[in-house]
Amino acid sequence: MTTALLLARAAFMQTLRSRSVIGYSMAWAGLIAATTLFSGNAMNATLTIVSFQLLIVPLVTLMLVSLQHYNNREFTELLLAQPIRRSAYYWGQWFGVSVALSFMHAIPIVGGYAIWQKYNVLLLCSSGIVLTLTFSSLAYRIAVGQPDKARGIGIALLVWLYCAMIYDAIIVVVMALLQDYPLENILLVLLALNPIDAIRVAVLLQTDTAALMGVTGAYLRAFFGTDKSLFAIAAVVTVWIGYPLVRGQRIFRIRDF
Amino acid sequence: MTIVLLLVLAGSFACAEVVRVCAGCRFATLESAIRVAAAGDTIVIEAGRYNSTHVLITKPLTIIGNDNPILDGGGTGTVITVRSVPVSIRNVVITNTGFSSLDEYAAIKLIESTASTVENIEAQRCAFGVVLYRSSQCILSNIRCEGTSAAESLSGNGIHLWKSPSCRIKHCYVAHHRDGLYFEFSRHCSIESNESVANMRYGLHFMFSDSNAYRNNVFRSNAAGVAVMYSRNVLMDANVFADNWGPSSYGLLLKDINQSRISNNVFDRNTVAIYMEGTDGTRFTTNLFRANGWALKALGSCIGDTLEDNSFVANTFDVMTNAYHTELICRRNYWDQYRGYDLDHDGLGDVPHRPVSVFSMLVERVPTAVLLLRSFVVELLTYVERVIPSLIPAALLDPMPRMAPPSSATPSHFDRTRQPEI
Repeated sequence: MTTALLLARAAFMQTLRSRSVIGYSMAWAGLIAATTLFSGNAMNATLTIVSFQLLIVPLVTLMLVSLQHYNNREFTELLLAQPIRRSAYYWGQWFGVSVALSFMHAIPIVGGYAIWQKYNVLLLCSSGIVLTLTFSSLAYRIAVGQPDKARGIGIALLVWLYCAMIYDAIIVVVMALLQDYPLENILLVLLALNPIDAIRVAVLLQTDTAALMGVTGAYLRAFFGTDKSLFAIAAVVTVWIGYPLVRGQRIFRIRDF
Repeated sequence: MTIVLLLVLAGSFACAEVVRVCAGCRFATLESAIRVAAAGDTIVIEAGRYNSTHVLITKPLTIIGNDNPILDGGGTGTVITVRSVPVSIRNVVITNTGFSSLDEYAAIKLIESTASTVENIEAQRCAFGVVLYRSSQCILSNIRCEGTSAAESLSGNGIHLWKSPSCRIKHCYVAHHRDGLYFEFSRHCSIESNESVANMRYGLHFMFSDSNAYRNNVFRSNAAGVAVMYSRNVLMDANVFADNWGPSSYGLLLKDINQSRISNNVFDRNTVAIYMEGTDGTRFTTNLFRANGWALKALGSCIGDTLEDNSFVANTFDVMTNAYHTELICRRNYWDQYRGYDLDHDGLGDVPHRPVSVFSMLVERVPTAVLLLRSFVVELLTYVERVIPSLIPAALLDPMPRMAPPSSATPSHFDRTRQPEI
């Protein structure tokens, strides 16, 4: 346990010091400043930043986490030659990196809020952190399972492309084709299966966009209630974070370096 | 004989008397005072509470309250009924009418009472506030109706006009009734500076009421917004329609409204700011649509409507139509979703704007699709469709949209609407 924490701290510090992570954080600061200064009201600012988050956070997290794993390969081999449990290294490494990334993402959000007080800071922080955790666990699973760096990065990119674009495009086409059928429940399940969509819907339900859904919205509200649906989405996201990690650990335990 | 009669008549008109009503006076109730009063007399009601008051007035009288007397209907019937004579009623508080799903019990009911005046009235816990049947040229001003929000079938309308043309309604406030202001077969009326808030159904509801003018009114937080139907030549100017937010709520629902003009209004935070069907030849000018779900839903049955110099700001969807071919004419509006440029600096964009997004059309067909709102793919699709339209109505476009909102798009009473917050 203490070994895992020590390794987590080392990974945390290493990630914080990484130049690309500092750049990432500064880019967010710029983006938040621009959005806050140019958008009319709090709701717009929040929704604009969430849109950016849904696109950028998964991509950058996937890239940074998998790259870090590949670049640490020699260090990993060296450490694992010592009497250290593999699971301690595995969990410590993931925890340190993802907490550092979440931290570096949250700092500009909180800082911007401290200066302008112009958006829903709690909503933005939670969506950003949940996205970071989800995609860092996915990236970790990919990097652990794929020894070849180029292929690993390629897979990570494909995962991002799929979650952020292809998946929704497929849903749009399916809905246009099957518009005569009742799609409420199916669509909700489909959206929950994609972490980006799940988080986007959670944010939508927090704003009062639900009224736009007309009868469907009333039905959704009555059926789930905002709190319950948030809970369901939290459960789905937990699975999205937990399952790849557990799978990855199994691979990592028996992996031959 | 004739001379005597004339003299008597002249005498009775010349010395119109003042009859006082109070607990210790000769007349302790309004009923007894009305019984003895002659036509043209003035009845002054002194301060106090007058229980179970139900009066029928059939002679022209002036009734004035001194220091807000309270006429209590005791929970039954109508409090003041006027039949076939012009009256003037001022400065009284009326409370506790009956509630019925059969009869229209009101604080004040004018039946065929042309040219009456009702002023400074407060109607509390009344089924209907002020009701006019076949009473033309009446003036209603400063009436405050505070309903009970009882069941919709039991409750009535704040101000209710039936076949009562050429009336003026101004500075009234109606809350928690069924419909705030209700007009049926009432033409050439002027409705100004009223406020209709938190009613159970519509803030304003009219049918078959042509040539009415609505100015400077505020309609806010009504369960179903404002719905107006089957009328022509209507003017709606500088009104505020706000906070009608819910699955079946409309800022302004227009059904079969023809040759009308809707200008300088503010639509703020409505699920659908304007919904129209069968609405022809109507001009929408210099309105501000802000933070609505849909700013304008125009069904294919609308022909020859013009949208000019309006501002569309921070709406989720600007314009939606269910028809590929529409006759909605857009000119010089400001669209905050416009991505064009203005190289000659004349304030008008150089490339046209197509306000209908393909996503809003998808949502119209599959309401659940709104769950894809703010998805990157949807934004991409919207952008591509605007550049190369194939699914959206290509003819519905603003050829020269404004680069900045027109300055007159904010009426002075707009600051009363609250800012949208997340």
